[in-house]
Amino acid sequence: MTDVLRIAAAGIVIAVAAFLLREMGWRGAVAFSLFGLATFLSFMAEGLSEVGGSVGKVASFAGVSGIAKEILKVVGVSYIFGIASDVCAEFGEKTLSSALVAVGRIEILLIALPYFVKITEAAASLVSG
Amino acid sequence: MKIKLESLRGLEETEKFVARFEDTVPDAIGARIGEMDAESVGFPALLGEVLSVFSDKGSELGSFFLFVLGTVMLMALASFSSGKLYRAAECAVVLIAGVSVFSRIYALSSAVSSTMGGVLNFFTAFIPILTGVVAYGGGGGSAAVGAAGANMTLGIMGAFVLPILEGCVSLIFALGLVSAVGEEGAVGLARRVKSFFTWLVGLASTLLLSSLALQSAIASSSDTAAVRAAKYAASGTIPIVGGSVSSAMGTLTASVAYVKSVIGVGAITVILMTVLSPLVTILLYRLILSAAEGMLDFLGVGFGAKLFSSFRHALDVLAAVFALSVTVLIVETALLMKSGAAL
Repeated sequence: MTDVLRIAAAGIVIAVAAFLLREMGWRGAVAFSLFGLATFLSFMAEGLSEVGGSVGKVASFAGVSGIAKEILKVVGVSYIFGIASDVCAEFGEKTLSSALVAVGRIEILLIALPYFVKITEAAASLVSG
Repeated sequence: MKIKLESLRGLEETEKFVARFEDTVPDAIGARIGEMDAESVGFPALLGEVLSVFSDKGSELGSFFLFVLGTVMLMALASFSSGKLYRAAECAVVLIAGVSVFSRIYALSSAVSSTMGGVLNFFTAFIPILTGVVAYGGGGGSAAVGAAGANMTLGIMGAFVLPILEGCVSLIFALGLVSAVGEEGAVGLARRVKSFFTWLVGLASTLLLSSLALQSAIASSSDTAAVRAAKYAASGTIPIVGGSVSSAMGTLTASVAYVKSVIGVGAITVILMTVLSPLVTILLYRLILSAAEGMLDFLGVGFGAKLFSSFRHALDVLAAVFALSVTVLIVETALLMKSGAAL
C-alpha cells in the first residue's frame, strides 16, 4: 500500500513540476517526463518480478509454462514498444513513433509465427488427407 | 468374455455361433465384461462403467482442467494490456492459447475417430455371425436385408463419418480463431456449421434406420410365413414322424431366438463399453470449456470467451456425430435381433 501511495504521489509531483517548468518556458519538460517514467519503472521493478514469479509458478502447476512464456513475451513487447512509441511521439518524432509500432507488431508476429506455422501444417495435412 | 451356455447345451451349431462371436470381442472389452449374463447389461452396469471412466480418466481430465484454467488466467492477464499494440497482442494471444488448447481437443477427436474405427471393425466382424444365426433360424430374407443394411451403414460411416469427425472439428476451430480476433460473423458461421452437421447426421440416421426397419419388417413376415408353411407341410404330409419334425423345428427356432438375443445383447454391450469412455470424456471436456467460457465472460475477456465458445461447438459436433453413429449401429443390431422367423 505504501508503494502505491509513493508511486501515486511521485506521479503527481512530477506532473506538477513538468507543468510549472513548461509554463516557465523550459523546453526540457519532456526529459522530465522521461525521468518520471524511469522512476515509476524502478518503483514497479520489484512488483513486476513478483508478478512474473507468481504467474510462472501457477503456469508450471497448470502445465502451461510454454504458452505462459510466449504470452508474457507478447504482453511485454506490446508494453515496451507502446511506451517507446509514446515517448517518441512526445518528442515530436511521429515517423519514429510509427516505425516503433510497426517494429513492435513484427516482434509480436515473430513470437506467434511458430503457432501460425503449426496451424498451416495441420490445415495442409487435413487437405492432403 | 464368456457367455453362459446352460440353456444352449446340445445345440452344436448355436454353440459355434456363440464361440465365433466371443472371438470377435476385443480382449480388453471381454476382460472388462467378464461373464456375459443379464447383470452385465442394463443401467447398473452402465453406471458402473461411467464411474470407472471417472476413475480411469481422472488424471487426464484434471490435467486438462488445470491447463484450461492456466490458459484462462493468461488470457485475462493479457487483456490488461492496452495501447497502440493491443490488437496485435490480442491476436497473438488468441493464436498461442488457441493452438495450445486445440492440440488437446484434436488429440481427443483423433482418439474418438480411432474408437469409431474400432467399433466399425467389430461391427464388420460381428454382423456376419448375427445374420448367420438369423438365416440358420429360417430367416433368410431378414438376414439378407440385415447384411445389406449393415454393409450400407459401414460404407456410409467409412466414407462420411470418420472424415467429418476430424475435418469438421478443425473447421470450427478455424472459424473460432477468426471470430475471436474480431470477425463477429464467424461466430454465427461456426454455430451454423455445427447445426448443419448435427441436422445432417440426424436426418441421415433417421432415414437409414426407417428404411432398414421397414425392410426388416417385410422380410421378417415373409420368413415367418415360410417357416410356418414348412412346419405345416412337415406335420401334415410326412406320416408318423411329421409331428416330431414340426416340434423339432419349433425348438430350433426358440433356441436360435435365444442365441440371437444373447449375441445381439453381447454386441450392444461391447459397443457401449467401447464408446462410453470417449463419450463421457467429450462431455466432461465440454463442461470444462463451458466453465472457461463463463469465467472469461465474467472477466470481460471477450476474445477468449469467443474462442472457447467455438471449441465448445466443435465438441458438440464431435459428440453428436459420434453418438448418432453409435445409435445407428445399436438400433441396427436390435433390428436384426428382432428380425427373422417368429412362430
